[in-house]
Amino acid sequence: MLCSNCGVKDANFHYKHISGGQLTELHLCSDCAKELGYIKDSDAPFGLGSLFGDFLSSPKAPSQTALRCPQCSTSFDSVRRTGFLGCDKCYEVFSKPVESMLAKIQPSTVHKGKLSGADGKKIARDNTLKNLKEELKRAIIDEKYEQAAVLRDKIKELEAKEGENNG
Amino acid sequence: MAEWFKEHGEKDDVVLSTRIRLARNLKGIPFPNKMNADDAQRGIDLVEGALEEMNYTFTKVDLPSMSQAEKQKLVEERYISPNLASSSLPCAAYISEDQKVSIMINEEDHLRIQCIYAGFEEQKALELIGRVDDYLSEKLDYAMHEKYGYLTSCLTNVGTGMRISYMLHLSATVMSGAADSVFAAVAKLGATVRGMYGEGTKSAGNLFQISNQTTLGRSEAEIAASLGETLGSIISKERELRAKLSEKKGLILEDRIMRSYAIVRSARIMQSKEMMDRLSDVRFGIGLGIIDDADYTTLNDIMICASPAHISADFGIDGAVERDVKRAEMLREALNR
Ligand SMILES: [Zn+2]
Ligand SMILES: [Zn+2]
Repeated sequence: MLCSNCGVKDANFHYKHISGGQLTELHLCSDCAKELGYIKDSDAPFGLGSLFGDFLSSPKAPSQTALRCPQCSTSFDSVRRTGFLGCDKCYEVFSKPVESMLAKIQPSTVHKGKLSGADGKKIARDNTLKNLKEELKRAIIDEKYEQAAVLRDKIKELEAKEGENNG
Repeated sequence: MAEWFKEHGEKDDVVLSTRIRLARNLKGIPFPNKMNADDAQRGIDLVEGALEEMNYTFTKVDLPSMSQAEKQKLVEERYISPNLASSSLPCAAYISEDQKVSIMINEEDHLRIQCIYAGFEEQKALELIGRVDDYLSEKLDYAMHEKYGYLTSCLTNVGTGMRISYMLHLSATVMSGAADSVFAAVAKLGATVRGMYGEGTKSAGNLFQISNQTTLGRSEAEIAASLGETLGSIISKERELRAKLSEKKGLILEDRIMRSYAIVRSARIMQSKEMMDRLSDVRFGIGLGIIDDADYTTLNDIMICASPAHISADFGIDGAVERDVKRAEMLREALNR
């Protein structure tokens, strides 16, 4: 059985959680179990009984993380089985398995094509800004101060525009 | 303006059509595989509102009021997909005034925008579909992701959401027994090949569709260029094999082509599959210059207009045998000019 959080590794931790008369089962790999706080990072795994106890008593138990999309109720299991998502929100909810599934079927997981519309343009601007800032960092490290000045001005200009668009 | 299949295009000795489609979705509405009828109607209303203000006119195809044969007709003309024709959700389709662009609502994705040209017309198609998409993206809130670009219901379409498909006539490649090796090479280059009317090399009429397999990580232009390169090598191979076949088997080949031509111009009963195979020979004959009183456009047109749903819808004929009689009559009329 695959981990219901990342969908990549084998699940070797199995949890049952009862709330409101509903039984939810959770199957996690050790990495995800750690990340979601079911087991403590540095320690060796506890016995199952103590895990179960920890889980039930933990006030901030991350219940059913990523099991179902809150917007369309698609389950992780169906995403993994079919490769189909139920809505845009699923891409956030199942971000880890989506990333690893995309890595298997696409040449890269970073979109390189067109970005249109208000959201698309904002993403494009943010990407440009991020790249310019990286360039600026490099220019300063390499002591290319003239180039750095030019980059800094470009960044200021873009950020000013961003402010206008938001205001 | 006429339907795409009544027009001429580049490289039409091998390429029958160029089709590009973009998959787009609306923010905050479940994808069609998860949506209810209300969501579906909301999607239609949003797109319809956006299209009304556009200075490129689209006509709504009233799917709910159409018979199955009428819908199937649009499938045969490739303006809509079989999925849309049989969908149980509220869905809609719009076709542009020049009949080059169609938009399907609530197919696998909220929007499937597609553009189709006869022959090889990659640039024209990219440009036109880009314009329609740019316009719609200003009017609609597309579901987008900062890393993945355009979000789609299936992970195989994420990113650009773009699929470019060429319909190809590969008679010499099939006849020479080279199809398997050509298709294997194509697959290695990241493209997908499938028979248009059947599986693998058994495709009726030697018609195949080649398209890009992946959508994320490369720009639209890069995807187009890479598929274009693959297409180029398929075309040169096909042309080379045509020349070789004609040189080696001149008379036998000519005999086969002229027999097929005679049959499509004289037969009284013609099944769909036989029509596809005979027309494949005729098409080959035009390419070799053996037949000079027919052209590719006539073949494209009759191939679609004599498809089963066209005959059913246009002539009110339901029986298979009556359809085959009508098909033969249509072929005689189209090819005895
Ligand atoms: Zn995991
Ligand atoms: Zn969802």
